[in-house]
Amino acid sequence: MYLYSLTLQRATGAVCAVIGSFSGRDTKKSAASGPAASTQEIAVARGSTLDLLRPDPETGRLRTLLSVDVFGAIRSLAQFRLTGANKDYLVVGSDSGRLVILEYSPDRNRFDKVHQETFGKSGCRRIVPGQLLAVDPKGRALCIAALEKQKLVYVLNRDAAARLTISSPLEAHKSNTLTFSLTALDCGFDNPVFAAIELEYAESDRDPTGQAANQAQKILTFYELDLGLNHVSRKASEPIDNGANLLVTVPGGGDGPSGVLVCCDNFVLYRNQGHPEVRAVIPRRADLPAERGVLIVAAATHRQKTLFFFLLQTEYGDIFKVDLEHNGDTVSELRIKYFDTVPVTSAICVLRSGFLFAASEFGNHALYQFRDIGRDADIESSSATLMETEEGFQPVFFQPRALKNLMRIDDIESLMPVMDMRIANLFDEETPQLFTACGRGPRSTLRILRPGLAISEMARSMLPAEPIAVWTVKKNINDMFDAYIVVSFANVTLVLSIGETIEEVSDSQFLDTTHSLAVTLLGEDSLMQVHPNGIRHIREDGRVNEWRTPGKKTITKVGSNRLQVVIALSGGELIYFEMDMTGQLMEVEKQDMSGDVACLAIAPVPEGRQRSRFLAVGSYDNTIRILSLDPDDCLQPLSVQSVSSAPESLLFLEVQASVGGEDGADYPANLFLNAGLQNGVLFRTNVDMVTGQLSDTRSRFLGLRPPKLFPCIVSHRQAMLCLSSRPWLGYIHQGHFLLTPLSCDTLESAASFSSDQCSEGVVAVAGDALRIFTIERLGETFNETAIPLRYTPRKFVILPKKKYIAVIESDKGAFSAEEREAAKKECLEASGAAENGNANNGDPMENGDGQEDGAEDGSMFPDEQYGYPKAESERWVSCIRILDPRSRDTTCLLELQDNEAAVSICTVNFHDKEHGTLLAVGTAKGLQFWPKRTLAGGFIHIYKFVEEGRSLELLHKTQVEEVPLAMCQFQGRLLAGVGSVLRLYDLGKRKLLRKCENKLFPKTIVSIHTYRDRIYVGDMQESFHYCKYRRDENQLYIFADDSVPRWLTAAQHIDFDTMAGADKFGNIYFARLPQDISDEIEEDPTGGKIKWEQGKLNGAPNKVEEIVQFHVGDVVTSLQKASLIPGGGECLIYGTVMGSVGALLAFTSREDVDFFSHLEMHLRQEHPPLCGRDHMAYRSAYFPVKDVIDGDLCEQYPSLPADMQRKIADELDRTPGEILKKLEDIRNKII
Amino acid sequence: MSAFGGDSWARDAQQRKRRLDDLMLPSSSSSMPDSFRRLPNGKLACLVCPHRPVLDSPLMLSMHNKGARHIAAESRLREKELAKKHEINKRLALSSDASHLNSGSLHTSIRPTMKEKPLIEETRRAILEAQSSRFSDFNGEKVSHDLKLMTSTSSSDPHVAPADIPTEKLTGNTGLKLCNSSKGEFCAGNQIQGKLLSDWQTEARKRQEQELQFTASGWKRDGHGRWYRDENVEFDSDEDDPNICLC
Repeated sequence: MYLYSLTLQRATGAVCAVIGSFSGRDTKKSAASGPAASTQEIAVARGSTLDLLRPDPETGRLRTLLSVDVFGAIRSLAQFRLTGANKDYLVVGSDSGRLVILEYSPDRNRFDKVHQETFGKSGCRRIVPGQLLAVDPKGRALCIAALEKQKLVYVLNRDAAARLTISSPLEAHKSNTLTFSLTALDCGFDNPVFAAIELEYAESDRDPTGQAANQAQKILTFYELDLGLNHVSRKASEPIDNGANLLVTVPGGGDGPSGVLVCCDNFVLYRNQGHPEVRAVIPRRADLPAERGVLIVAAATHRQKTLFFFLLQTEYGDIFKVDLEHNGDTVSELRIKYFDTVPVTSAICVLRSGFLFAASEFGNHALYQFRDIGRDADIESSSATLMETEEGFQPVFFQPRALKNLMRIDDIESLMPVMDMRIANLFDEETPQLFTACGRGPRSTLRILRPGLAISEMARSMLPAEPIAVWTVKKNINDMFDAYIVVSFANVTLVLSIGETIEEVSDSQFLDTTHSLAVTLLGEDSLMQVHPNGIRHIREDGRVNEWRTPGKKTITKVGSNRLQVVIALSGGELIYFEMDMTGQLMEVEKQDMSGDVACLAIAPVPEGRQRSRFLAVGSYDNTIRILSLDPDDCLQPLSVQSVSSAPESLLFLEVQASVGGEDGADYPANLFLNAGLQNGVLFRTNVDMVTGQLSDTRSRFLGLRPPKLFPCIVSHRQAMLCLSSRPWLGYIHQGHFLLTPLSCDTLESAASFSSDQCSEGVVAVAGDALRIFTIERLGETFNETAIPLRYTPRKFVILPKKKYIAVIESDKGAFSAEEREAAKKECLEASGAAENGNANNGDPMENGDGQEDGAEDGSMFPDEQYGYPKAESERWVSCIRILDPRSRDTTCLLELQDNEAAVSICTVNFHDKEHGTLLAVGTAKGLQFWPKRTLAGGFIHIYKFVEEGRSLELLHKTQVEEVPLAMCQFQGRLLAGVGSVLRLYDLGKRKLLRKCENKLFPKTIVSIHTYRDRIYVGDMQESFHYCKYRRDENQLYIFADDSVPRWLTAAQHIDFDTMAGADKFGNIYFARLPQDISDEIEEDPTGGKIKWEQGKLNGAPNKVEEIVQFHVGDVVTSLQKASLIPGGGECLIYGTVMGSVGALLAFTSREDVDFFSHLEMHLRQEHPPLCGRDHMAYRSAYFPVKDVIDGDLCEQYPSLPADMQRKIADELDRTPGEILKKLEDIRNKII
Repeated sequence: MSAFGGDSWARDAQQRKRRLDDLMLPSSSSSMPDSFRRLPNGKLACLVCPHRPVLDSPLMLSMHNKGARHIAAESRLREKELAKKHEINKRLALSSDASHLNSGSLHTSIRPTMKEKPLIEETRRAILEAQSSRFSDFNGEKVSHDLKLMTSTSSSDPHVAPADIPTEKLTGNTGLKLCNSSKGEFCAGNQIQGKLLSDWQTEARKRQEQELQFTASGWKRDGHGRWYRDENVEFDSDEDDPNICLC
């Protein structure tokens, strides 16, 4: 089996983010308004992808400029700038054992590797640098450190040609020392100094009594790089608070006092060499339990000419603004003021343009705009008012409030972490939906992903009848916006004018008593309406020229561009008109075609030309002809293409030449002819700009209806709407042509739409409605609908009959909903707020706890933003929810009591019992992980569906001795993995009856799949075990297992002998029982029992083989077998912790395998990954990659320079076009 | 006593066992006259399976004979033979139109033996029919491997399946009854017999299924065939007792 791996949705979570002006470009605005501020971009590391985002100040949206897969784990990012330069470099610390410095090239829209310095082994190791990174604020040196011992300092400089140079590393190692945080001091142009929080463990290691460990002391160490001597010295090391976890650079060198802020448990300290410590307490939430500390998890510095401040975020999400009162280098006061509360982030970035980017730890990221910088009075703690009592320092309390200084303006969707995923077509759409349970705590959601682009509808209005077609026209070619929407009905044409509102007009001179075939702007400022009986040409001054069809013939088809019109009359006569100098439409040529014309299209007029040369004519004899429109050989055929079915619609798409730029790659100008065929296929071919020859044809099935093609504008470029049984959009994104479905109903006709309110929209008719919408989030594979949940979703099942979803959710260290309600009420009463009806009336059916009405109340906020109040860490809260995904309603929500947490769920049909389908939920009571895993008991709840499956009723509850982590129906009974015991249960009157068990599993059973009489059990640490159940002996026995210990995180049954699994180190593998052994087992009358009693390698007698092996580089949490396209082959879809979705497709031909493995090989050599990790080594990080071809690498082929593409293509004996077609084909097989 | 000595009882015992094995072997030969061949080296080659597997001992052969592959091959073979027979019959029938004499001679070749021992012949044929129909039944059904195994052992080789004593008895008795009842006029009784037989079979199968259900729900049997509860298994308060149910 050979597989093709393709990431469908890149990782959406963020590991770290830095801000800098990587493009080095000045903003257009600032050029006019004084100081040369350059645009700022945000570099975000998402596991193995590196993204470059830029906020668009006009729309207030973050735009992804570039997203590149680096095939390595990015662990740290830093940005720096050489003195006097106006462009930032990006330093990447990864698992490659190399330091990589990247430069963004805005012209070609890619990162270029400037330097790549090898210093150690690859992999994330504790002693190999890469985890911590600090750069001197003046860009003279950088320090890269490991968690333990090693620190390397590189000196950065520039050569005569102003290119960046990097020295050999200087070592600042210290054995037996752990490093917690590293930063560079801002000390102007003095020698660069780095500060680190360190802990020496040599003594604690040697002392067996543990006394030394208790007395271990963290130290703050300063390393000075002497630029003159080219030497790093450990300049000073001072003891520091043992809770210290993070260092933040304080501006210096004239702008500030220099030094560092040390963030500790509950405190923020200011430290500098030779400066007394300045300490202030971090304010606490009033409802925080006393034993919980407050840690800072993210920090950002904002610097202006005269002022600087810090924003520090705590682990609960509260942001504090930290100010320093200083006089020269002496700091007299440190103030911490409550700023706002946003969900906990892994990085916050403050942009000079007044935005704040919060890269959330889990769930959606957000872009905020500053409304204020916290100048108003608010709760504040200061070093000046710090009170020390006998019990320690006096805490300061605050209540979180609604956003005051920040305003949320954009959301960037993130699936992180995908907890569980199922693929099913619950909505009876053309393609199945991906249901993913995402997020954590109060921000958890169930997201429904549909392949395709999201649309946002701006307007919808009903029309008196069902329209046939719609157009938009401008009055003048130089107008920004469209003037009219023309809607054609069966025998009437309706004209709507676009203004503040859209209303019907009658003075437009359009003929409204007939239906229209085409309405366009002609020349500079005249309009043309083509109706079956003639052409109506409306001049700008109101004169109307009418051309009538000869005899009884009618116009059937029209093709036109700005200056040329071709009509086809019934019977197959073509008449060609051209606009002359006076603006008159003149008949130029006539031509009889052999049969009726099915469709017509004229290529757009090329820049600087008088006319276009090509006319495409589709006929019912399954051909498309290209005719010339040149005066010399007018309407003479240039080329013919035969197609599989009669063409229905034609469209020329002109791609203007691009030399890269911010969202384009290098490509020459090109003309594509697109044809929608009657069998639902979109046919695309390249038209030679000179000869009109057709080449490089591609086709794709779009849907059951013949696609109708309409031009539109997407991000200032020509794009194409294809309306089949669902609409598709063909557009160019980051240099690639993409054809993606839109997530909306079938449309009849569409046109581009541009007005004051909506600069790039689409107007469409469907049924009797006129709809105006915009297309959003270009370049994404999926669009999502989120349904909020209450706690972290653990697992869910789809209830097949009613198409409901049953979700189990559980969280640790939180209060249950009732307790929270009670606490809130108490809080309200305490604050004296009148019960104005806004107080939550305790509707038990609400989804999350999103009190939409609560936000305005001031003291009631959505938990999604503020997090749940913290309870003691051993408390569990959990619920079982039945959800109707269509209406997004929760039909039943059962909150579990007594510290119980739901851990597993399955539906079960017990044989010959009266209840029908039941729901089994496995729970654990009082589960603790620290200091040792303990538990008060496990239970299996059996629920009956009532109210037609909308609600649940507890039938009974059975106590078991361990946590039931996996359950599955088997032969009319329930198989449960209780700890390390596999047990078969039957339904009893008062509890489940244990019928049979096998205790021979190594650790803990985490997955159970069944097929016929085989049971496939996944163990937490020991991979798969294949079992059988013998009815005549009432015995379960293991006949095969895996010889590789795998820490299983997800499993999926593939076929009778094969299982797919994923382990916690980020590998996907397939285990297969060899065919001969499988046959033997099936033929052996004892079912292999005799052999089983012998055993092998302390396990089962037979061993499964690993036939497929692939390192994804991210923990896979769910595996599903599904087909995402109608009629397509099944592939294995996976979801990961970082919120990415990928697919593995099995190859069907040996030829393809050869081709792609060669392409992969060439790309490995010619295009090594950006972060310096060897691609082959990365995909083989734990086990050698086996029989999987990395599609993500193959898809980097189009981004190579043209000569490189040609070189690789030559070696593969193909043309670059063929390779691109192959890549497109295989992608189209998956999605 | 030396193992190589001439008066060793072991050798004697071994020979006796081998003889017994040999005797047990041709149990399937009644339906298939040459389903295997003894090779010069004492090993046995299965002639039913197309790839002619060579097996070391009669025991292994008998195990092999119960394997799914062998059974599939056997049924295929039988099908082929049936088809051949059918074809011959058809040809004969066609030719009989031309000459009655031919068909008559064929009938007479069978009839004399039948007339000698009509009852025994009839019974044998009924059993054969039943067996073959049962085989095809299970091949089609293939509910679970274990189930198929159980039933096939019980039907083809009653000596191996101790759990099915009652079933066997049942068939034995009824076989006798059949002989008595259908004395003389076997032409008319043929259909009734077939029906009765299939009834007994379904009954037996039902009973087996019931027994399996009891074993699966945790009942066990002691040496006397009585049912008792497995102490590791939990039971509902009102669960059926096979000692009562199956009596």
